[in-house]
Amino acid sequence: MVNINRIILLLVTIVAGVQIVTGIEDYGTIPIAYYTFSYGIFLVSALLMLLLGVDIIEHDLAALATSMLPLGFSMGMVAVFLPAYHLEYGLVVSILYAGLVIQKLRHQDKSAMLFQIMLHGLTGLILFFMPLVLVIQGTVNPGYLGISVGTGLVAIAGMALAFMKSGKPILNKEQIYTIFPSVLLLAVVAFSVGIGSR
Amino acid sequence: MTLISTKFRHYWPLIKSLQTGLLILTGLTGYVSARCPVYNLTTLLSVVGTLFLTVSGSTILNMVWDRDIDAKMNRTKHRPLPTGLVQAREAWIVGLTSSLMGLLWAVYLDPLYALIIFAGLFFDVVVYTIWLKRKTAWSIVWGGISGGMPILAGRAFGLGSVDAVGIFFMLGILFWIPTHILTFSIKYVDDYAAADVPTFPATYGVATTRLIISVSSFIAALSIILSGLMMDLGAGYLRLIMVLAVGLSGLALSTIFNASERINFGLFKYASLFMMTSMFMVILGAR
Repeated sequence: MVNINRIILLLVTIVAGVQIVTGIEDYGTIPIAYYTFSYGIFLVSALLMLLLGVDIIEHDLAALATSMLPLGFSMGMVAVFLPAYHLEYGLVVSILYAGLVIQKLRHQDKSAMLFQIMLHGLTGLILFFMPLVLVIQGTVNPGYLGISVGTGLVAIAGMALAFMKSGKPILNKEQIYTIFPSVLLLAVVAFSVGIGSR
Repeated sequence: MTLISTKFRHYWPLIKSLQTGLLILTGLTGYVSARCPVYNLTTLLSVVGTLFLTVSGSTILNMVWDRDIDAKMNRTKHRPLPTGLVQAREAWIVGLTSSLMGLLWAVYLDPLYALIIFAGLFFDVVVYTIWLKRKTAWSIVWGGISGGMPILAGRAFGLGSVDAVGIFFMLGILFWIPTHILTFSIKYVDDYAAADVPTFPATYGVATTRLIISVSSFIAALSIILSGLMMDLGAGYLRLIMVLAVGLSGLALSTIFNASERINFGLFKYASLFMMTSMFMVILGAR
């Protein structure tokens, strides 16, 4: 791994760590738990990439871990802005996530992929469009759009990985490994700006 | 001047600076966690000074005692004692003097603090190194207990007594140390066998050793979290420790189901990072 990527991954851990310690204090207990969960995924993923190498993103468990990232953020947003649907939304995404885990463990890759698409589709829609609606309504500051930007970045990285795994790469493996830490940093910064701009 | 710099260069590897530094950090953490007046720079420096002298001293004494083992192992045969760069008698005097100076300084500060530091030194040099290391793989338990003494001592010094938080802190270090030592004993299993030092991988097999590493990492993480909860650590700092603990437990589990040299060493590095970060979080978040 090139040194600049080590520094970038270290920055990801620092940004995520600072967010966990002080960045989400203004929220209630439940959103704090969800946001901690998602920033925790950022932090631990970046640490593991630092210690074990960026290629761990190809590991089967990485798909399970990265799916938790939008899950936590979207649950947090629903808990804050749509508390009446918190339980229902939580149940749906939990079922989808459980399906993904079970099918992954059974090595049923096609049906696992189906659960993954549904889970990422649903959480992605919430994370991308909800900030737009909230900003248009004037409920939150424009900085809240950072969440949409972060979601877009994570989606791009996720798609690049998915295409690579399916054998039809948009970018080759080396290119993905090279840009992945930067995308991760931009995403964690964007999420932090968004969540901090309520 | 040249003689001093040469001696310094030869003695520096003998004190295992990283390990000593981490133990001093744990001692400082224990002290600060007691919410005592940390603006007292003299006391803070005294904690650093006493721990530096005693931990370095005991490490040098271990190196002197184990120089025959070190000479047989590829990983350690280039150390200053087996290569003859430092004479055993001289190192013995330096180690003993350093330990005694640290202990006397500690007695001057607080007898309870000194007693706990002395226990750490005794368990490390006498029980672990001299008595058990060549006899049983379980000697590492005593190595772990002695490693937990600086944080317990620091806490007791700040508080004036030993409490449950200090004990859990100590357990955190005690169970963290197997991750450190056992990972090395898997990686250098042939080295230890050549030196006739009993290790877990040689005695119970690599799979069992990995299981022990995982369980002890999990208990270490849990102990640190419990200490944080009991001392009412700032919520944000506790959250970060919890996140890192989940990562540690996950990585520890994966060494059982997905064992490899790479994951094993990744766990070793992650565990060190976890402990260091947790200590800083306790220092920053102590209220």
